[in-house]
Amino acid sequence: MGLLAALAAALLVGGCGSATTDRDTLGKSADAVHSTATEGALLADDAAAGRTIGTYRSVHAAALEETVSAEARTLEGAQAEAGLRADAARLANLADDVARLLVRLEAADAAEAGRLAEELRRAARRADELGGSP
Amino acid sequence: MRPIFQVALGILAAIGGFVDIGDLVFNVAAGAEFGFSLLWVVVVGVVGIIVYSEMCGRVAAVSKRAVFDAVRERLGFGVGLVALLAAQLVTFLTLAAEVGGIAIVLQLLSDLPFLALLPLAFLGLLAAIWFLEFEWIERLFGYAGLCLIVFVVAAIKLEPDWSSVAHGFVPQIDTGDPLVYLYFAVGLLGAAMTPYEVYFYSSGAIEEGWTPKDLGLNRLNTFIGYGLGGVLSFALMITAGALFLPQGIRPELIGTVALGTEVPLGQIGLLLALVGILFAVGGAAIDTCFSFAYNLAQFFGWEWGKYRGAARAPRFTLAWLVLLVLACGVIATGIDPVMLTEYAVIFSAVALPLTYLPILLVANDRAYMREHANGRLANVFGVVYLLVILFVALAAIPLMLITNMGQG
Repeated sequence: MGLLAALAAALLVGGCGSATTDRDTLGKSADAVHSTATEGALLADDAAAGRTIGTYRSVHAAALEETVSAEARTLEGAQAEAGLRADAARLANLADDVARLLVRLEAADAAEAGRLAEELRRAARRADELGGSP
Repeated sequence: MRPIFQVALGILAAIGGFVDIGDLVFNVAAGAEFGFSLLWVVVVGVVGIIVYSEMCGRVAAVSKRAVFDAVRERLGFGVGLVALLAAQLVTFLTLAAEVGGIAIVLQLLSDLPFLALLPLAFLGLLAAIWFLEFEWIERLFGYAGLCLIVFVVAAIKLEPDWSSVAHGFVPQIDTGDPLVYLYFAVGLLGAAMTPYEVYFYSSGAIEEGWTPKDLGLNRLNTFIGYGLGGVLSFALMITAGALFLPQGIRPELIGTVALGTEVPLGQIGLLLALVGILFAVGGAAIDTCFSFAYNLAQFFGWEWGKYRGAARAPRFTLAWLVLLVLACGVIATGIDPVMLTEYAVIFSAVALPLTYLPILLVANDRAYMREHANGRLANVFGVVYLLVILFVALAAIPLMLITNMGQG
C-alpha cells in the first residue's frame, strides 16, 4: 500500500508539474482560474452585502489566493506548445491578477468588495475565453 | 429525554464518521462535478453501513466481541495482522486529515495562523478524550455536529431542480467521463463505509456495556444515526450541485464547503456550518483516535476501554495518545489535509473487505450469537454488500491512478 501511495504521489507530482502545456492542460488551467475567480466573486458579493464573517472572508480569500498563485506558477514554469504560448502567458498573467484581487478582498470594505466582485467575474469570463470554453 | 440521549452513539458514529472530512470533501466535490447524479451512491453507502453497523452492534452486545477480536479469531494472526496494518494506516491518515480540518475551521473562525491553531486542536482533543466520559463525548460532538443540518436548509433555499434531484437517485452513467464518475462513486462508497466507523461503533457498544436487551437500541442507533448521516450527505451534494456546478466552481478547500451555506443563508448559515464542521470533524478525530487504540488492544489482547481509565488500560491510553501526537506532527509538516483526506478515503476502500468479512462470519456463528445470529435478510444484504465492497476495493487504486484523483 505504501508503494502504491508513493506511485500515486509520483504520478500526481508528475501531472502537476508537467513540462508542456497543450490545449488540454491549458483548458484545465483556465477552468481552475475560472473556478477560483468565480468563487472569489461569490465571497466578494457576500462581503459587499454584509452577509459574511470577517475572519472567514479574510482566511478563505487568502486560501483562494494561494490556490490561484500556484496555478500561475505552474503556467509560468511550463513550456507551452507553439501556438499556445501567447494564451498561456495571458492566462498566467490573469491568474496573477486574480491573486491580487483576492489579496485586496481580504480586507476590503463593502464598497470595494462590490467592485472586486465585478472584476473577479470579468476575470472568470476572460479565463473561459483563453481556455477556449464557449 | 433518555431515548434521545441513548441514540447518541449512533449519531456520533454518523456525524463523526458518515459526515467526516472525507464525506465533506467527496460529497461536495461530487456535487460540483456531477450535480445530483451520484445521489444514488449515497443511498447504497447508507444502506451498507446500516447493515454492517447493525451486525457489529449485535455481535458486540451478544458476544462481547468487538471487530478486531473477530478479525484475529476468524482470519488468524497472519491475515489478521495484514488487516490490522491496513486498518491502522487508513485510520492514521484519516486522523491526520481530521486534525488538519479542525485547525482549518478554527482558522476560518479566528484568522489566527494555522500552525498556532494546531496545538490548540491537539489540546482540545486531548482534553475532550481525557476528561469527558464516553457518553459525554458522544453527546457533545454528536449533537453539536447536528449544526450541519444547516446544509439541508441551504439545499432547500437554493431551490434546486427537484426533478433532477429525484433523477439522481436512479443509477446512471451518462456523464462526460465515466471513469471519473466511477472514481467518485467508489470514493463516496469508501467514505460512507469507512472502516473506522464500525471499529468505533462496535467498541463503543462494549464501552457502554450493551447486552442483548439493547438490540432494539442498536437498530435505532444505526437507522437514525446513519439515516441522518445520509440526509446530510444528500444535502452537501445537492448544495454543491445547485450552487457550484452551474458556476463552474470546483471546490478544493474546506472553506468552500462552508460557502455553500453562506451564499443562501448569510452569516448565520456560515457560522452554523463552521461550528457543525468543527464538531463533526472533531468527533471523527476522536472516533479515529479511539479506533486505532481499540484495534491494537483487541488484536493483541490488551486491556482496553475509556471506561477503564489510563491506569487500568495503560497501553490502550498510550496508543491513542501517541497517535494523536503523530497525526498533529504530520499535519505540522504542511501536508494539505484535503489531499490527505482523498488518499485516506481511497485507501480505506481497499481495506473494506478485511474489516467486513470477519463481521459477517461471526454474525452467522450460532455458537456465539445463539438466537441472535444473522437471519436470511441480513445475510442476503451482507453478502451483496461484501461483493460491492470487493469491487470497490479492487477498483479504488486503479481508478485513482487512471483519473489522477478525479481530475480527469
